[in-house]
Amino acid sequence: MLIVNRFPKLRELTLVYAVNVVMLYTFSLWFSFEDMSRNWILYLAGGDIVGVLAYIIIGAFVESLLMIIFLTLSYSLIPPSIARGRFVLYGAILSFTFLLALMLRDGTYVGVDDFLKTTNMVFIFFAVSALILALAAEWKQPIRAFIESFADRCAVFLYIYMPLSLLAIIVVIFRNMGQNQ
Amino acid sequence: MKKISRRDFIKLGWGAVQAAAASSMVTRAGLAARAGAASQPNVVMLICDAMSAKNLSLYGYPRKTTPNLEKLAERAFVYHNHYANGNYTTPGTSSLLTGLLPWTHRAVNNAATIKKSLSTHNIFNLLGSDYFKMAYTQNYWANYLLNQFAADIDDLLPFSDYGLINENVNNKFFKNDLAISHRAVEKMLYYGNSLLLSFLTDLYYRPRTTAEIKQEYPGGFPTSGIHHNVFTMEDLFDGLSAKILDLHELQRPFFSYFHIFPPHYPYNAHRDFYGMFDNDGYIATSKREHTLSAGVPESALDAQRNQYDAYLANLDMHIGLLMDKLEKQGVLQDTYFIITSDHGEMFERGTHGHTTAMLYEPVIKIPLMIFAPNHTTRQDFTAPTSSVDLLPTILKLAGQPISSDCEGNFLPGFGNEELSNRSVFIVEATQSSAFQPFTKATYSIIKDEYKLLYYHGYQHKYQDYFEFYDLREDPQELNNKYSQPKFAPLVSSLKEELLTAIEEANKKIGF
Repeated sequence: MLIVNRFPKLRELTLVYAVNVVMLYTFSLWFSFEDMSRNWILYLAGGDIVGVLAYIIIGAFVESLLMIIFLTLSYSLIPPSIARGRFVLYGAILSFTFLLALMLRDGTYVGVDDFLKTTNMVFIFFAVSALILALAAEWKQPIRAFIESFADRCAVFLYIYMPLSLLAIIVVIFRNMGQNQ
Repeated sequence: MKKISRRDFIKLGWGAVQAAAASSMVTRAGLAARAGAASQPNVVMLICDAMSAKNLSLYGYPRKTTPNLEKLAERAFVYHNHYANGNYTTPGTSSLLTGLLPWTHRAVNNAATIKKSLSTHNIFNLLGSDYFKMAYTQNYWANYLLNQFAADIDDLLPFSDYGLINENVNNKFFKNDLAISHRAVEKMLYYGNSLLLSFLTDLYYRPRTTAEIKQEYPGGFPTSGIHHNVFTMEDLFDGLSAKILDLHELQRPFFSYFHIFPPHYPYNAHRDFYGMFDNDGYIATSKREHTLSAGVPESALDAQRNQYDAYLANLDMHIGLLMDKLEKQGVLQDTYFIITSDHGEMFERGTHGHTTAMLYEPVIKIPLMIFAPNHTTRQDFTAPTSSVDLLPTILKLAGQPISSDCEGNFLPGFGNEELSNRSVFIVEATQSSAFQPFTKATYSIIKDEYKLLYYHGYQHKYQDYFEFYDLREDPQELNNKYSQPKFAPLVSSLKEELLTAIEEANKKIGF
């Protein structure tokens, strides 16, 4: 059986992708706006600020693609008897808990020497919280429905973030066309 | 007209003697250089980030932090009252590279670049096409400035060169938009603005720093602000010497700018130096906590000072070895070698570091030593000088015309008498907009041995507040003599000069 045939349906992919997009883009833009209001606005021209934001949006776009590729490939490797019909549920749980763990790491980051400590913390938090959520979703239908509807609502943000990404790509291509500025 | 006192007269006379002696030495040095392969001398600048003159035994600090610099000073021009024009990387480095004061170049905010209309007013461009120009910095914020001047630099090395992990995404993919992409990539990969990419970056970099090397650095690896840019002092200085030797092989004169991170925080000295001052009995002068301080307790300041001093000693050893090597290879016979810093470092009044509103001596007084070709005697200068003086001096050494926009003077010993009454300006305005007159800033004017500090826009009494110090009698700046009647005329004159300069600068902000 071709691995492609094991890929989730487009609608399922879109919903899980949307969870990633919401978390990754919102996080990146939130902190960028913080930088902008505290620092960039003091000395950068408007066009330059747009340029920095464009790179950061592309960064978020790359991140979201990496996440969805990883989740899709992982799903394809799991026997269909276990995974079928659960891509949205598990995809959303894994994305949510993993990115939440990374946020936690980001907030507690001290320095490179503490890397192992913080990385271990990320994986412990991720594993425990993902397991708890997955068990809870299997155990209680309303929890499962809540997670799936959360993913569904996230899809609305694709209408904002995807055009923004396209715009960002255009800005970055345009900025890199000329000579060194 | 101001009367000249007996003391002034003696000082002027001594200044003239020193200037005459120095200029004759420079002439001889210059002739020697011209007799060599190149008609224009090479110039190497070594900027040691956050190197405070106050902590160097070269300048009388009780701890033996710089024995090699002391030895090297025996054949150098040594400046005893040299100042950075800003209190941290961005304004300090900008002034050094442009010869402009912070209120003119407007690079006063964290990670900022200079005003676009002045971006060609930089040492690389002004040196003209005769020179091969090379630049390298480990400091991310200085790298923004070098990126801004990239079109004028023949060889701009990535900041990660000479590090344990020599890679740079930015220079590979976004060559045509370095200044802006650099800013974004830094935020994404190193400051965690991108959740996943910063994590993956860590995963990629971290295991590549081996445990064996770590044993050499008990306090952790030296890093350059960005935690991935890990390096060892040995690699760094091996890289520098190899690069200088390569440049020296060129068939044309070269100018090279090396802005290395040590002794900037984190003060991770090699094990041979680590902890060397921890129990030496040295007690620093205790100073009352300042209202605008960060509130760091004295014990913590002492601990940081110990580490800083050890890191300085470590750096000093490498500078000594580098100079020996260059001497043996004949590089110094036709090369001016300049050692200085972009700003100082502070361990007093409840503040550690240099990002502070307080412009006291430790944070602005920096070393300046210049080695001229075949110059074999020590020459000391005590007139106040500052970073903006380097650009016109280097241009003069290189035989290039001096831009009329330059705000510095030739350094004493290089075509200028020792003017003790020259004014030096220092500006801190991190929290102000570069596009408008500064709303929150600290200014300092230093003239002769007197210093006036002006706080503007801060809380409480620092809304508009002045301090005045006699640096000769009170080098620790413990007694604010602003209100003393004895100094009233002097205070008034300095105040007028400073406020007029600020007003003039505000008229020329236009971006």
